[in-house]
This record gives sequence, structure tokens and C-alpha cells, in this order.
Amino acid sequence: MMLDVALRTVRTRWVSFAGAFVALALGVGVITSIGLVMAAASAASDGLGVQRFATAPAVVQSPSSVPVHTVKGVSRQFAARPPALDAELISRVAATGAVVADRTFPAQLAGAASGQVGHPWSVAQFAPYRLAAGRAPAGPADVVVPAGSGALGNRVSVLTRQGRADYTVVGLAEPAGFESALFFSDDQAATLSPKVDALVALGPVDAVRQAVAGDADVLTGPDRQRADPATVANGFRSVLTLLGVTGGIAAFVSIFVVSSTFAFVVAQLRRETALLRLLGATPAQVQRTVLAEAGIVGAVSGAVGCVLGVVGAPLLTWWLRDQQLVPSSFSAGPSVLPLVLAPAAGLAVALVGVAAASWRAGRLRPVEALREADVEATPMTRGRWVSGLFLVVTAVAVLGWVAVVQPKIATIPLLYLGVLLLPVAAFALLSPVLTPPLVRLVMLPMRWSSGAGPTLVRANAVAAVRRTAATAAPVLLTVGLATAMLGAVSTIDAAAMCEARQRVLAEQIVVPANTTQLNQEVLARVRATGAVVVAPAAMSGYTANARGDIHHFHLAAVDPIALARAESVPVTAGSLSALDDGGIVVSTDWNLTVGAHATVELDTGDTLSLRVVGVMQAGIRGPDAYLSAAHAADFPIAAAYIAPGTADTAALNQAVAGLGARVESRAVWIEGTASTAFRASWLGLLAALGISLVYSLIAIANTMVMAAAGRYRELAVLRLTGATARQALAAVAGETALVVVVGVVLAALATVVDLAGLSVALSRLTTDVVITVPWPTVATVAGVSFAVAMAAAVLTAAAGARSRAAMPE
Amino acid sequence: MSSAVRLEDVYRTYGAGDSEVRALDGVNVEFPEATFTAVMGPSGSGKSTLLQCAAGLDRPDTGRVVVAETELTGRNETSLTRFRRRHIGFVFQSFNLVSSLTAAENVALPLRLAGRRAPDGEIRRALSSVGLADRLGHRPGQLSGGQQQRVAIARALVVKPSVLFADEPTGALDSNRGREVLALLRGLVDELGQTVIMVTHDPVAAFRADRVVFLRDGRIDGDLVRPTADAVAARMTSLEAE
Repeated sequence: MMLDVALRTVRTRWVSFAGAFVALALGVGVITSIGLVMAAASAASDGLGVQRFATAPAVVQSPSSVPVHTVKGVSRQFAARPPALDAELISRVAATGAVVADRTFPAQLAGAASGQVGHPWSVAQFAPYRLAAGRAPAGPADVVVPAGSGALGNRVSVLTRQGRADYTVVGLAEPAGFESALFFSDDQAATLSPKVDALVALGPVDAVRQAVAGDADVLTGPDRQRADPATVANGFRSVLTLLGVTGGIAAFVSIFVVSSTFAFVVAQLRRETALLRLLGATPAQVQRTVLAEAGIVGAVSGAVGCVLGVVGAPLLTWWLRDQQLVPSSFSAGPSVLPLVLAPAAGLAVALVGVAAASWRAGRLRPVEALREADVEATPMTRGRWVSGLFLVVTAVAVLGWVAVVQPKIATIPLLYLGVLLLPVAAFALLSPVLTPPLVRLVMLPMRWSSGAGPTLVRANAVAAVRRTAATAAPVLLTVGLATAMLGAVSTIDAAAMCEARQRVLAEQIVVPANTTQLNQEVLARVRATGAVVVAPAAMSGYTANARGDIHHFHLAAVDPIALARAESVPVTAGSLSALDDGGIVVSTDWNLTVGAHATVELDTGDTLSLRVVGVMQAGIRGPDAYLSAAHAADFPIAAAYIAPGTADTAALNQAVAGLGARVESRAVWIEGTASTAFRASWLGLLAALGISLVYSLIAIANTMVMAAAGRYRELAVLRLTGATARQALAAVAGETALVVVVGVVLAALATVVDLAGLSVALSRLTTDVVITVPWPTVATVAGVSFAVAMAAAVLTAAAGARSRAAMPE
Repeated sequence: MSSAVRLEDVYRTYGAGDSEVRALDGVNVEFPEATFTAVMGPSGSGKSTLLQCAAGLDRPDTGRVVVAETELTGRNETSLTRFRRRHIGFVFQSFNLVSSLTAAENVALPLRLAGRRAPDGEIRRALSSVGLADRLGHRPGQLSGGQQQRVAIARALVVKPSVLFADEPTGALDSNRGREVLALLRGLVDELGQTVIMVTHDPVAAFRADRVVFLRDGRIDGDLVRPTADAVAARMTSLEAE
């Protein structure tokens, strides 16, 4: 019975339900698309197969985690650069049978795309790499290059960590998909990279395991994939993270939109619901009807959303390929899980979203059917108060915690995003409380207007608080999301650039060109010009505090004298010049004082026991600690800073020519390199956020159509009272404008809270924090929201006025 | 004759403090079975509140309401709803039909809400009794105002209520359609022994009742049995003048 009534209500009150339907179908569509692509990316990442050691029976490799010692015991932490295999272990394995040592090191053909690696030829057989032409490298000057990047007998320049050297192409290898590799003779490879990264063991696997005795990982079968270059898998992993965040935001937005849309539908059907009560429906029956309505809409729009999702997935894939986030061969096929989960989640969201509204509907008194006006006594329910205030408290607590305890989180986009959303959600929930005073405030300039328009607009907006709040909510979401995100990006960017300007004294900076790091020859040649150079070698490691908490820190090995001339390090205690081989200058994040002892366990497996000789202000970028250059080893060097006045640019340019490096001026470097990496990760996120923005714009149009369609009757009354068609539409337009302004003001409030938290966090990392909001972009988002809302409301009202006789029912 | 509806010492106040409104201020009144009673009074005299309390739509602050020998006071909303749908029918000024349902479906709605079967014959009979046998499949939008009000009456009657409450049933109709509706209500009392209680401010409508009860400032202010329209009008004029 109730299902029957529900079905009919859905069928005939389609204008109201169309809104909920559209919101839910699109939400499910977006989530399904993301889910399908995520499933495909996850499968692709798992299904890469064993590549570099595809035909090797067993591979011995250091574990990709290192033990970190704390007061609570030993904890294993991820190591970006696993320790080398030591000679003693290698000889133990060699006793079980033949072994082949693999070394992976930067080796870049001059002029080829960045990221090439070098290997000893003996391991080529295990991928397997095949010779397309020529022979294996034998002498120290022989090299095998990927077919297509050189001809047999050519002399080629190869850039390695040491510098540039010329080799003769003796063979051409068929290219492999997972890496671009140059092969050297085994001896030459050992010279270029003494460190053994992995060992192929051809002896019996059990014997190998026994010989290793747990000192390293013995990889067999699919586990050998762990020895493959991380780039491809990493690429999928970062795409998965990106999509996960996008999906999370899309889910947040759709839950928000769908539940407010359903609440809106239920509010619009108030009279009919009360009528059912009047005719003998019990509160429980009414509640069930509303739930059934939500169920019907949820089920149908879930199905439609699935179809939209299947259509949308290739578009998303195309975008990912276009952004080179996935290989061009990647495509998202159908998979069951997203197609089941997304619509099920949609249905659940519809039911949960409508639960509160259905309870409210059940509590409607039958006599409400007899009332005409849309005046609502209590737009704020107790549940809304509780959850709204809870979110306010949570938002303030989390923003405060980040600002005071963990300011670095503010600089990690993926983590900080969720924090930025909290105030937006809190303001949305509390909007019915804030709307009436806001409406009065916004209308203040028109207080003395004698026209009927402003009076009518203000009265309507205040009388139907819930409707005003519900229509303002998507505007708040759209503008709030965009402003908070864009404001955070540019504020962090500005702060980082400001920090760089303060810290970097160098007028010239040598950076890698078409290679991944600076080589030793570049540094030697630059020094030979008489320049004073600081070339920080970047390493990372773990340290545990007295409570047993583990922190991951980035360290830089430098010459402290040169550093002091090329950079202004904000030392707050001790001194940089005291940095000797056993010393460390730490940032304030370490919570250590001068003279304290610091144990750092590097992710290469080495443990450094150091004495704190200086403390510096923690920064947004830049390392968390400086060590002496004695620890530099072969850690990568991303830039070399030249002390001012110690070199002229022409001489530097000449020195680095042909060595895979170039010289940048301070200004260019700060504008470019300083912010590129950071901005890229935010921009990827923002592009993904575009999906949510488009969705919430549709939600704005949707809500406006629903609101305007629910008011045909009111407009007819207005016409009867003597308003011309133009005046009636002007009233609609006026109220819509008011609603958008209310939404924008609420968004501004949420953004103020967000940016206040961010600026406190950043001020703990750097001195001059200026809140920067990209006003043109924000204004564009607000303007588009305004245009969409206005078009939707006025066109709907005009269509209603045309299609109906101007008589109230 | 036993009473179909009885109100004893009923008080009902809305709001609090300065905005307090005493809608019913100690009302004692009985409505006998199989009679047609009109309740009249100036605006704000408490007519609608009286009707809503008597019908179990609103709850008195103190006092008792007894309908069909059943005490309504102290029941919860679900129990009141069950009682209402078995014993009480409503007709309102704005016809309050569900616009998405046909006339027949609107009439069947109270039965189906009560979880009862709604046999086609019964629905047809109810609509024939209000002269709309040929409008079964029409939606409210396709019916005139008078026809819609008659559908509403058929809907109220289909549960065979102990009492039929009508709140300004002719208020939205022109005088001819209004007269038809009043004749219909009169007929129900005379031919079927239906109890009808009607709130109105129209002396012409009240004249069709067996008795008119007057209400002023939330109190009963006398009655007229077998009234004439002129007597009712004179009484109303004096009530409104005071």
C-alpha cells in the first residue's frame, strides 16, 4: 500500500523528485567512473607481472624497510633507498650456486629523455633483454643502448653520477616497457656503481634461503616484482591516491547534495504528507512512505548512475592519459565491484539522507495540511544542531591541532584537504541559524526602499528559512570548496616563495637539465671556476623521541661554510659553523636543544649517532636538518647554490656545458623550480576537484529549479495581487540573488576559518605569511554559480508562468 | 438520544507569555447522534480549535473529549490516528485531495491507509451517493470545485464514520455549488442518520443545521435550535459587535 502511494507520488511529483534523482544519479555516476578507473589501475598495478627478473629463479634483495629502534622496541619503516647487499652476504649466497649481481644507477645518454638507468650486461638475460644487433659489452668503453637511440659503432656520451664519459655502441637491445636501460660490461658497471642492489641466485632456492638466513629478502615467483623499478607501480599508486581523494571529495559532495535535496523534497511535500496523516496514516506509515520514495528514487537513479559511470570512465581515463599520469596503453574495462558498490552506496545515501527528513515527516501534525503558508517554526532540528556544533568543534580542534602541533601537515595537500572541508560542512549544517541574520544584513542597504520588491524578497527568504538555507547550501559548497582550496594553494605557494627569497642568497643556481641529478663532474668544474658552491646531498631517515614516536626527516649533507655564504639559514641556537662530522643542525620540529644527542637511522640502513650543534627554524620546504658533507656518499644532489660574488654566469655556463646541467638566476629559480613540484601536486588535485565543482554547479541548478517549481502557486498569487509578469520574475530573480549572496557569504566565513588555521600553521614554519586568495578565479566560480542559479530559477519560473493559467489552485 | 461527541471542561492555549492565546476557555458541549450541528462565531473565537479538539486532531491542555463513547484524552499519536481513521471523517474548505490520485483512489485512500481492502463496489457506491458515479477515473485537476468537494465528502464517508466534521465546507464554492453541498450533508443526516458537525461563518449554511452553537472568546455563548437564517444572522451581528 505505502509503496503504491510512494510510487504514485514519485511519478506525479516528478519535478521535486527529478532534483533528487539528478543529484543522486550524477553522484553515483561520478563515483562509479572513479571506481572503475581505480579498479583498473589497481589491477594494472598488480598485473604488471615480474619484469626485470622475469626468468630469474630467485632474487636476493635488501628489504624495502629498515629497522628503527625506539624505547618501545624495533619498528620497521619504509626505506626509499634500501641498503646495499654486503660482500659477506654475497659470498654466502655464492656458495650455494652461481650468482649474478645487479646494479641500477643513473646513466643517461646525452640528448635522450631523462630517467635512463645503467645495468651490468649479465642481468640483461633475466628480463629478458635481447640483442637486436651487435654484441655484448666486453671492454670498459663498450655500451649497449636501446634500439633506436644509436647506431652500432657510434661514439656516444653517457652521463653518470661521476660525470660525462664517451662509450662505443657495440650492441642494440630491444627496448623493454618498464625502463630505458643502458648496459655496461660487468666490471665497468661495478666501477660506476660499487653498490650491489640485487643478486640473482641460480642455486637451489632452499639453500639460498638458508644461506641468506633472514638478512635479506629472497624473492621468488610473483614476489620478484618487488625488485622491479618502482616508477610504473608508483605511477599507478599515485593515481590510485589521487582518485581516492577525488572519489572521497565526490562522495562528500554527493552525500551533502543528495541529503539536502531529499530534505528539500520532503519539505516541499509537507502539505501532502500532512494530508495523508489527516486521512488516517500513522506517523510510522508516513515515515515508511518517505523511505520508500527515497528507495525508489535511489534504486532507479543508482541504475542510471551506473550507466553514466560506464560512459564517464573512458573520459576520466582519457584525462589521466592526457596528463601522463597513466601509460598510454591503460584503459578501464568493466569490473563488478564498482558497479555493485556505487549504486548500493547511492541507495544507502538516499536512505540515510532521507532518514532525518522522514522522521520529521512522521512528526508532522495532521492540521498542517490545513495551513497555507510556508512558514516554518523550527528550521533547525535537534539533530542538525548536534551534528552542526559537533562539526564546528571538530573543525576548530583539527585546524588548531595542525596549526599548533603538526604545522607541516598544512603543506601536504592530500592530508590537508579533508581538514579544509570540515568548516565548509559545519557552516552548511548551521546555515538555517545563520541565514535570517545574513539575509537582514544583506538587505540592509535596501531598508528604506519603498518598492514592494525588496520587502517581498526579504520576507520570503526569512519566512522559508529552510528553503533559503537548502538552496544556498550548494552555492556554499561550490564557492567554499574552490575558495578554500585555491586560497590554500596560493597562500602556501606565496609563503614558500617568500621563504625561498629570504633563505637563498645565491645569485646563480646550477640545476639538472634533462637528468635527474647533478653529477660530480659538474660540481668539480663549477668549483674549478673559483665559485664557492654548496651542493646539498639529499637523504632521509628516521629518529625516535623519548616517548617512542618515530619521525621521518629529510636531511642534507653540506659544507657548512659554503652553506652559510649561499643560504641564510635561520639558526635560533648554536651555530652552523660548529657543524663537524659528528654534528647535526636540526630544525625546531625535532624538539632538541643544542648539546643533545640525536640518533638518525637512514633508510640506507646506516645509523648515525650525532650531537646537536645548532637549531634552526623549521621551514615549509628545505631540509629538516643539515649534516656535514662527510655523509654525502652518493646521495642525489638536486641543485648547487653558488655563493654571491664568487662566479660569473658566463664562466658557469661554459663549465656546465654538455654535462646535463644549466645555470639559473635566483629570480627564475625561485619562481620556477621552487614551486613547480609543489604546485604540480596541488594542480593535479584541483583538476580532479573540477569533477566535484561541476557536480556542485549542477546541484545549484537542480535546487533552484526545484525551489522555483515549488512556487508556481505563490507566483500566481503574486500576479493576482497586481504584479506584472516582469515584476513576478524580478521577485524570483531578487530572491535567487539573495540566496546566492547568502551562500557566498557563508562560503567566505568557512574560508576565513580555513585560512586562519592555515596561516597560524604556516607562521610556525616561516615568518612572512600573507593570506593570498586568487580573486579572479574565485570571482569566476562565484559568478558562474550566480549565473547558473539565476538562469535555472528564472527560466523555471517563466516556464511555469507560461504553462499555467495565472490562477491559484 | 446519546451524544456522538462530548467535550467537558476543555481548555486549549497556544503560545506563551505575551503571545498567549486562549483558544478554548472551558468549553462544555455535546453533539447528539444523527444530528446536524453548526458551530459559529467571529474570527478568532476558537471555532477551528474546537473542531480540531473534538476530532482528535489537536489535544486539549485539560478537559475530556469523548467521541463514540471513547475517551480521546491521553492517547498517543498513533493510537489517535487509528481511532480517527475508523470513526471520524473530515471535509475541509480547501478540498485537500491528493492531486496525484484519481477520484476513486482518493476515496479509497482512508481504507487503504487503515490496511483494509477497498472493494470497487464500495468506492463506486460512495461516489454515486455524492452524484459522481461517472467521475471515478478523473484526477482532482479535471474536476470543478463543487465536484472536488463532493469527492472529499465521499472520501470522508467511505469509512462509515461515527462523526463527520466539516470545516467551512462551502467557503471555497460559489453559492449554487455551496447549496448543493449543504443539501448533500443534510441528506446524510436525514437519510443515513449520520452525525455532522460543521464550522461555518455563513448564516445561510448554518440555517440548514438542526442546531447552531455560538462561540465567543473560546467559550460557548448559547445556541439556537431549528434556526432561521435571519435569527442566525442577527445573533452573529450582535456577537461581532460586542
